[in-house]
This record gives sequence, structure tokens and C-alpha cells, in this order.
Amino acid sequence: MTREEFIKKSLAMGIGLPFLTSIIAACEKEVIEFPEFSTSFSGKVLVIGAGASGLAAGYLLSRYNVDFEIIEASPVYGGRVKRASNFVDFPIDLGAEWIHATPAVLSEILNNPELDASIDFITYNPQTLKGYRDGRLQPHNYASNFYSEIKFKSTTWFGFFEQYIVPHFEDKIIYNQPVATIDYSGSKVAVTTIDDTVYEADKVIVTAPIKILQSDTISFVPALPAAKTEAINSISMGDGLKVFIEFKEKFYPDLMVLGGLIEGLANDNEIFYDAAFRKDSNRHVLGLFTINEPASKYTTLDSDQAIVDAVMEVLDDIFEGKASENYLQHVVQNWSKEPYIQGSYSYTFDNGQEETVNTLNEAVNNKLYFAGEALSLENQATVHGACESGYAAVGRAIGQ
Amino acid sequence: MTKPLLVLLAWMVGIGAWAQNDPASLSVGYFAPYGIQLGGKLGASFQVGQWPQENEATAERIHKLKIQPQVGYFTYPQVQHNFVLNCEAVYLRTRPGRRFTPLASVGLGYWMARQRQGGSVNLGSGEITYDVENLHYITPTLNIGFEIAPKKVIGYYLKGFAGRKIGLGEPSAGLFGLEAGLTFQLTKKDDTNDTGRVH
Repeated sequence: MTREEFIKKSLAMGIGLPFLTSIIAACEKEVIEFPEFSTSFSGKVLVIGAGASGLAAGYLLSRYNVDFEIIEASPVYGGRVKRASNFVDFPIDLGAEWIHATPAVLSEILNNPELDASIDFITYNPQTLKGYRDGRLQPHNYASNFYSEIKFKSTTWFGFFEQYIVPHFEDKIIYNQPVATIDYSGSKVAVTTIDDTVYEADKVIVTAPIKILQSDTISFVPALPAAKTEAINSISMGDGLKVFIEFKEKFYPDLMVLGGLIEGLANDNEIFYDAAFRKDSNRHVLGLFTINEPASKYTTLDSDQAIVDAVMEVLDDIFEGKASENYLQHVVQNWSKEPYIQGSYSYTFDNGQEETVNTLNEAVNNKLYFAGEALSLENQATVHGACESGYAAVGRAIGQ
Repeated sequence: MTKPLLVLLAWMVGIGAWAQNDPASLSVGYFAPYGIQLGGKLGASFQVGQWPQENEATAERIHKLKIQPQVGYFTYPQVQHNFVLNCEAVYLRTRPGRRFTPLASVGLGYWMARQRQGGSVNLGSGEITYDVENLHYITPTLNIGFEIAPKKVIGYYLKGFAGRKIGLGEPSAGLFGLEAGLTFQLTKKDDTNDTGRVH
């Protein structure tokens, strides 16, 4: 059962168990497994994609002094880990934002007992919660007793990678190199980018998002085994959008879900939240996080301005014009329009998660490996899950 | 820790002294606000009134009024530790010889929540240090349930509660939950109590 399936089934039972997922996760002693293995591998590894999974793979490869490069399609690393540094007086996660586990998972990702550093976090436990249904805002503050997660206080997921992961191998990331073909028919794997640059390696770890793999943007030579292709196509990854709007005053609750709190969460409806909650800031920033079908009505609009106009219309309708009265500035992150992402994150698995993930985690000809947030059985759709998958792929590729 | 305990004991004994002390009982219960938070309650029960009612049917009914001071603790895992002071006025209606008794009560409590607001994690060791803040709430509740009176010493009770968690400087919220536990008769049961005679 996936995390999302668990949440939906729990909601269907009419109980607050969905929020226990984070509690349960927080109770686990170790959230992710950092592989330790011996290796005699002396070849070269190429990692396709510099998102969380690809960066984690690079981090582990550098620990084993393996010759590797990361081929990134866009001009920046991070993938769905992205930051707005100068929007207000605290950095904002434009992509992955919550730490869906105990904060100790950050230490587990780094696996470096010698490291003398710490990171501040907040207990994200919104106190005022409302659902908006049938033209009415309905209070659901009791739900603060079911829902609590962890967020960064003064940094972001991007900042975490920037400070503690990427410096170990920054010169090994090659930007603006969208991959066109991965040819694994020979003794080496040849990766050709759209500008016809060819990179060769003994092993290739592909961490591109599921939508990219489904879109045939990357051609595999020979074609991937049918079971792999079927597994890739059986994973759903819907639209994704985040919008942050700064207001002069806070006229909104800590958390608000359209369509009622429980029903809205069950249907993936738009979630508005106080992005400045427990941050050291006096600024008032409202975030909108929406995925799948409810996101599509925004992500398909022509421009960021059209998106924020639509969001403001919703807010003005709910708060009787207070949004427009208090508007200062906004930032929009339309993940569906990111050319090398094209959506939010893996969601459901038509053929069952375990079977699908196991199929994708099998190496192709001992040369081609897949990794990413979708391929972590225990921590799917999370940053630490993406890291865990990247680590596991490295272990399969070069471990003995 | 000794001082707060003494205050609590004095509070409970004080109510007990004010109330009639026959029959008194202690209760130990599982206390689950919102159904999922885990905790326990320790209480005492003092009967302060009893009166009979002639029923048109065959049996004679007895109405009882009890005062129940309670102390409790519950946890919202990873988020809060809560300490509870509560007092309920309990109404019971029973019949002579019957152990099963429906009950209804109104309660007023004070909750102090030790709430984690955040903290810091050491990236080398994974050690976490939490910042904790004390939050204060007043909790009026309505309680409905039943009790099974002790045959000799041990009885049982189960009740659901609903009310309001009124924040003192914090947002308020609806409140509901369950409580179940054992009651222990402290004094020898006086048979005349079950005859409906008013003390």
C-alpha cells in the first residue's frame, strides 16, 4: 500500500489515521537505509538527473571515490527541490517542503557522524484549520490534534542539499544537457544529449521523473524490456503547482482546504497554508499547494499571472475581497510546465506498488539502473525517499 | 514535582471533604482525547446527593449526584505532553440491585500542554533538541456513558466526552474523546443506599 493509498483508506474509514503516518514515521528509529558495501568497481558511472535522487547517488559515489558525472537537463540542480531565496525574509521551498519523517532523517541522509552542524526545524502543527464548502468557511481546529509534521525553520530542502551534499562533487554536475538517447547495446553505455554530446560509462543510473520516462523524451537502445516499460507507464504522476502570495495582513487560517477539510484532503483539493507559520518572520505569506486534477485548472493556464489571478479570485471569494486589499507580491511554481519535470510526484501504481517498484529496481543488462522518489517502497513521494532510492541504486550498481 | 502533587492531592481531598464521603471510590482510566491520543486519568468519586423516584412501572429508580475530581496525563506523540485537572458533576439513574448505570456529567477542566514548537537536529549524530512551550486551556465538557457498579470492590466505566478546548491566548478547538477504566470502592457499601432512602 502506498502512502497515499494508506491516507485515502484511512480517510475513507472516517478516522484521523492519515496524520498518524507522520507520527508512525517519526517513531521509527531509522527512516532510510544508508547502504554500506564493499566494491571493486573501477569503471565510470553516469547519473542522469540532478534532483534529490541523483544528488544522493552522487554523494554516495563520491564517498566510494568512484569516477562519475551527473548529467542535468536544466541549468540548475535540485529538480523538484527548489528555493525562492529573495521573495521574503525567509527562504521558501517552491517544491518539496515538508520533512515527512523525524528530523533525524537529515542526519541519516548525510550519514556522517563526524559532521559538526545542526539545522533548526519547526513542528508544523497548524492551530487554526478551516474547510471551505458550500460558500462557508468551516472551522476544524480539532484537526490540529491529528496533524503534525516537520519543516525547515531557516533553510529549505534546497539549502540542505546546497550546503551538505552538493559541495562534495559540485564540479561533476554537467548542466543544460537534456538526454536524448541511452544506448546500452555495447560494452559501455553511451548517453547522447540533444546537442549530440556523447558521454560513455560502464553504468548509468537514471533518476529522471516518471513523467519524463513516460514521455519517451529519452530513447533507450535497445528498447527497455516490456516489463520495465509497463511498470513505468503504470505509475501516475499528476499536475503540480505551488503559489506563494505575500499579504499585508494575515486574514487566513493556518491551514485551509477547499471542499471541506476531510473531504478536500481525500480528493486532493487545493490546500492553502500559512507559509510563515513558526518562521522567524513578521511577513504574511500564504502558500497554495495543489496536485493532480485540482491543480490542472491552474497549471493549464497560459501564464503565471493568469494562475495568480485565478488564485486571487478564489481567495477574494472566500475572504470577501481581503486578498486583493492586502496583496503585495507573489511567486508561482508551475511544476507541470517545467520541461524536465512535467508534474508533481508519483501517486498511484496501477499494478501494485511493490511489484512495480521491484520491477523497476531490477538492473537492465547490469548496466542500467533506475532511481527516484517513485522507487522508494517505504518512503515514496518524499525527498528522503528519493535519496534512499538513489543510494540503493548506487549499491546495486557498484556494490558486491 | 512534589509540590504540584501535594496541591493536586489537597484539591481532591478538599472536594472529598466538602462532599459526602459515602460511598467514595477511586477510578483509574484510559483517557483518549480525539480517540487517538494516549493517556490516563486518576480520579475520586464522592456522592453528594441521592433521591428516589417512584416509577409508574414496577421498579423504583434512584437518582444520584456525584462529584469527581480527576488528574490526568495524555500525549500527542511527538508533539505534546498534556497534564489535566478536571472536575465532573455526574448524574446517575439506577435501580436497586442493578449494577449497570447510565451516567451523564458536565465537566470543567484545565489542561496544560507542553507543546513542541520546533528544535534543532544535529546532522552528525541525529540528536534532536526540542523547543517546548507551555500552552493553557480550559475544557468544559459533556460526558455520556455508563458505569458498572462494583460488586465488591472493582467496577467499570466507559464514557464519551465532547466539549471545547478553550485556549488561553491560543486558538480554541472542538474536543471529543473516550475514557474507560476501573473504579475501586473505598468504603464498605451501605445497602441502604440501594433502597432509595435519601441520606
